[in-house]
Amino acid sequence: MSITFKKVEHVYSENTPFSYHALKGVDLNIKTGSMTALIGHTGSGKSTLIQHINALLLPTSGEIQIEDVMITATNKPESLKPLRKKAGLVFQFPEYQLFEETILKDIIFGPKNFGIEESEAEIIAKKVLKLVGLDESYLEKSPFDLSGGQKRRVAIAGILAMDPDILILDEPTAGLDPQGAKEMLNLFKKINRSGKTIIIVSHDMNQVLEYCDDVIVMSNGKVERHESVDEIFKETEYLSSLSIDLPTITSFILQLNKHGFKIDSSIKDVDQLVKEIGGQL
Amino acid sequence: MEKIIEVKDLLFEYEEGLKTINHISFQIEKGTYTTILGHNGSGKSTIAKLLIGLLAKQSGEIKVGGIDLNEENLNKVRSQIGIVFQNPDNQFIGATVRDDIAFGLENMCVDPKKMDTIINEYASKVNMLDFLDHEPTKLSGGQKQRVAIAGILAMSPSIIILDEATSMLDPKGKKEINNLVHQLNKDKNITILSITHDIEEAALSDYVILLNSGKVIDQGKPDEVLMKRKQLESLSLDVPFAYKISEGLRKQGIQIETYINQEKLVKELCQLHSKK
Repeated sequence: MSITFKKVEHVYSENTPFSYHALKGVDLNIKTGSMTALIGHTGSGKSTLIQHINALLLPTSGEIQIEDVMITATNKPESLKPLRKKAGLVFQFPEYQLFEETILKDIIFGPKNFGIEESEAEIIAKKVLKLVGLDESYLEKSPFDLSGGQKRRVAIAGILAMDPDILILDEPTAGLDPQGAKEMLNLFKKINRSGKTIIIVSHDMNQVLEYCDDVIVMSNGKVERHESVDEIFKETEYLSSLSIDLPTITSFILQLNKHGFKIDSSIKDVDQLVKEIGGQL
Repeated sequence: MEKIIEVKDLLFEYEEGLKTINHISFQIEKGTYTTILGHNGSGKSTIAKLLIGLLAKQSGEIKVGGIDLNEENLNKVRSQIGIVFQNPDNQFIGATVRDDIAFGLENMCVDPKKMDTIINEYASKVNMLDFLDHEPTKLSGGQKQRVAIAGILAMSPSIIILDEATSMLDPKGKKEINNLVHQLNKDKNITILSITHDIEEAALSDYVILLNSGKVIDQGKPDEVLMKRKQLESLSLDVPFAYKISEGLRKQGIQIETYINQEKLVKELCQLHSKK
C-alpha cells in the first residue's frame, strides 16, 4: 500500500498570533512493504508528518493518498475510519497511552472499536501479546504494574491488534536498554517481512543503518532527502550540516580512510569490517 | 582518596521478599565520574532514590560526605546532592527558566537581592542565559536538562546524580549534556554519579559499577569491567564498539591491544597501517 503526499502544507493555529508553518510543500512517495526511517532534528516536522498518515492531522492544503483513501483539508474525519484501521500510529512513550484495568482489556479496546466480537478480539490479544514477547499470564495483570519496557510492549500490542497495513512508530526504542531496543526492532523487522509498511522515527543512526531500507530526512518542515540507507550515509557533509551523526561503524570507517585505509563505507557489519581492516594491515 | 559516598550492605524491597536492592556495597571517591551500569529493571534508579532519601532503606548504611543518611540528617545529605531525572518534562516547577532556577534558592532562603546574580551565573554556565524568560515547556529536551542542571548548580552540590538524564534526548541534546557534565566534573571537581545503560558513556568514565537484579556484579575501571564481553552480554548490555573491532582483529591473528576507546583504537590501527 503506497503512501503519497502531494504538495502538503500544514500550518498550526492558522490566522492566529501562534501560527506555525510545520510542513512546507511536502511531496513524498513511500513504497508498500518498505521499512523507512524518518530522521531530522527535534522540531523539523517529523511528528506532524506522521500524524497526517492516519489523518490525526489534516493538511492545511495539498493531498495525501493512502491506497484508495484520499485525505485533504476538507475530508471529514467520519470518512476516515477505514484509514485508522489501515494505519496504526504508535506515539513516543506509548506506555502513557495505557488506561485499562487489565492488559487484555487494553489490547482489545482497539479491535472492539472496529466492530470485532469480544471473543475474537481476545484471540487476537493473545496472538499479539506473544508477538511482542509477553506470555498469556500477563493478560489479567494491570498494565500499570509492569516495567517501562513491558508497558511499551503492551502499548504496541494494542496497535498490532488492529492489524494495520502501515505501522508508524515515533522513537519506539527511546529509553529502552540495548537488549530491549534490539528485541523491539527485530519485532518490527519481522512485521515488515510479513508485508507491512513500516515508518519509524529515529534519532539512532545505528538502528537506521541496521534495520531500515530507506531514509527520509526532514529539516524546517521540508522533506530534503528520500533515499536508500546506503546513499544517505554517503552524504556526510550534508548530514553534519544538520548535526545528524553518522552510524558508529560508518564514522569509524571514514576515520580510518582518512589515514590511508581504503574501506567501503557502506559496510554495515562488524565482522565484515574486521575482515576488511585485517586484509589491509 | 576521600570517599564521598559509602554504601554498605544496603537492602531495599518495594514489596516484602522482593529484594530490589539486595545487600549491596560500594564506595565512590570524591571528584570521580562513576557510572552505574545495568539494564532496565536492574535497580539502578532505586539506588539513586535511596541515596537522596526519596526512598527509605530497609537496612544497611549510606554515608554521603561522611554523614549518615537517616531521618535526622536528611537535609544535610540532600544539600550535598543534586539529581537530574530521566524525563525532562517532569522536573519543572517555575513558569520561566528564571523562576525555575530560583525555586531551589528560595527554599534555601537566599536573599532575593542576591538571587539574580546567582541565577545569571549558573544560567550562563549551562549556556542558557538567553532563555531566562522563556517558558521551560517550549525548550528542547537538551535545553530542559541544562536548566535542570543550572537549578542544581545554584545549590552548589558536591555530587550530581544523573538518572538516565540523557536517554530521552536526541543525539545533539545528549552530547550537550555529556559535555557539560564532564566539564563540571573536571573544572569544579563535582563528583558525578551517572546511572545509564549506555556502554559508550560508561567507557568514558573513571569507574564503573555493574548492577544486575539489585546486586553489584562487578566494579572497577572501565578497561577492566567493560572488557568482559560474556558478562556484559549475559546482563543484556552491549559491548563497546572499539572492543568488538579490536577483539575481532586479534582473532585474525593481528597483534593489537584490546580497546574500549575508539580514538585510541583508530590511532593504533593507523600506526599499524603506516608501518605496513
